[in-house]
Amino acid sequence: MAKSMAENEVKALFDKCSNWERWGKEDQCGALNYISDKKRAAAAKLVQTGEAVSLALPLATIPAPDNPTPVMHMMQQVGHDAHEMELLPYSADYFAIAPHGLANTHLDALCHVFYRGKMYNGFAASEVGSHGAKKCAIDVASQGVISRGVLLDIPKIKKVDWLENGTHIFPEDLDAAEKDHRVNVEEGDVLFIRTGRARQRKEKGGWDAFAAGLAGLDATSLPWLHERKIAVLGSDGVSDVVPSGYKDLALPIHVCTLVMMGVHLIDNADLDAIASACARNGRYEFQFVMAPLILKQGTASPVNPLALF
Amino acid sequence: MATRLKPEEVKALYDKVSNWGRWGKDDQRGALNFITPEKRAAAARLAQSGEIVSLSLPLSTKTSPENPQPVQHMMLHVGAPVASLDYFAIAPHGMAFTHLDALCHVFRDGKMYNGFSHREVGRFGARKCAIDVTRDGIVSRGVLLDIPEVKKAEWLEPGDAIYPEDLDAAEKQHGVRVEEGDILLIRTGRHRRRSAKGAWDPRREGLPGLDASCLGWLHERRIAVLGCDAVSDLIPNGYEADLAMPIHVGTLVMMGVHLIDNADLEALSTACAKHNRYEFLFAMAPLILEQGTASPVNPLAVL
Repeated sequence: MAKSMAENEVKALFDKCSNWERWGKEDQCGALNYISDKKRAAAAKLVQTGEAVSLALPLATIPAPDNPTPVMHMMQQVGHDAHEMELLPYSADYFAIAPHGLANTHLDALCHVFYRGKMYNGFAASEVGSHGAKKCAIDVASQGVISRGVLLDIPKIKKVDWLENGTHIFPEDLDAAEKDHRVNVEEGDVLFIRTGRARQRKEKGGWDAFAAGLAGLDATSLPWLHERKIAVLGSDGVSDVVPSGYKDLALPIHVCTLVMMGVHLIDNADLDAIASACARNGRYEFQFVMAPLILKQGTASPVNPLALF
Repeated sequence: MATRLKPEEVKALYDKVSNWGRWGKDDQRGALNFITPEKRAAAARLAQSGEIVSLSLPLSTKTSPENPQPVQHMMLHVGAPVASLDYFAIAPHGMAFTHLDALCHVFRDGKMYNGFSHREVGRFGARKCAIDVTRDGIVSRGVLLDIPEVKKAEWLEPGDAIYPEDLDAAEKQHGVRVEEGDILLIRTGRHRRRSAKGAWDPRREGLPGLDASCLGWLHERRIAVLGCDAVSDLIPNGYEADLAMPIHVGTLVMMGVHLIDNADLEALSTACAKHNRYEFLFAMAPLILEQGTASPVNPLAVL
């Protein structure tokens, strides 16, 4: 039976999984460097039927226990007024989005979290100020992220609809999912871990995950992720199991992937449609396409990641 | 020499290029219906080298003559000890941001695409033809027609019109033909001019763009989406205010063709010239903004 590690052992893992200076001491792209032109061209060859699936939740404008800061949608101009006032009638709107948190599908920049006052590659936390982020901002991904995507569907292999809140996912579960799905996670892949959270939410409504918990990866999964040289990690939860069980390490997966490994994270994806598509197509690899907005000095971007079969 | 259409001829052209009812009376996706799974699979085969190019400008947070409503970027939490968090406010329309117009963005005689009433857009947002009809993304073959390249100019000047003959000449020179379901991108060189001379107010000083006579050409080729480094429409176009944006009205309202405004096509122009290939895999994933009339986008080309 798999077991979590002691807190000091997890901290030792952080150093073991470090990619600092792997791509030079000025590097701000981290594990995105694993995605070569060759990898992208090979990923495009995975497209056979042309079926396209979104991995994003709609940007939610309604407050909920898991969404205290909903997207604001204001109309600047509407059809009805415009028709009476304007020679060229039009409609236009305005959106305000705080992309982090538990409600919106977003990509975390490497400057989002810190460990011992540092972000990825040893840059100081003070590089993020009232002006925004001067290092490792989200616009390092301005050319998009296109690679092979792989889904590991954990509820499927455990034969449940979803993992209950607080369920830990161990490396053995990742191995078992690879075996069941007949896929191997490789260098430069964008790896998605499904917990069934979106499915649970559809049936039971939203919940405050920081109070009531979320299923996610146990810290012992970190070396597995590091050895496989993934480029990006995504989940329908927030990758981390909540609560983590540690006093000083609330989100060890966030800290180790973003800060130590330089792996960008996709939080709050919707992996239900992709799980169905993978099962139907009998394959858990696909072309993955994501184009974060070019928000200079931003710490995240809302995203609509796509899978193509 | 190409000649301009009379106002009544433009209005007659609107009716001629209509796709209303083509995909059923409840359809809200318009010309996106031209993109089949087979078309997407064929487009993926165009990604040969794996080189990737963004077609988006940065979302600018600074005011300028073309950007009276810059993106607001607020820091909710800054730096150490644990996390940094931010907040963005974006009004995606206008002349400064790379964005995708939904089919509910403009109207003709009180109607949007497929005859839906302008009243379907209210203070609540859009109930028909909102931007979330594109929630599964837009992936297809992309084609660039690089007009300054054909005209051997650095850029087209504000107010320079592009005629169907120019599109034909570009196709011939690039060795490419625009086909059903394509994402057609028209380069005017606007951003090269901006880099050289600074920003200007397009509403007062103009932009190069397509003459209204191009609508027949666009309709016959059955393009799925039209994009431009300007706003596709020529400004000023010489017509009265009721024909201020004939390309917007002809494509969005009549043809159901979504529009990408203010793309950055400079890097793509360089990449296409280098590969000597003006077709590529095009991928764009608008945000799922339910009831929205537009989304900021970062369209990608893979050669």
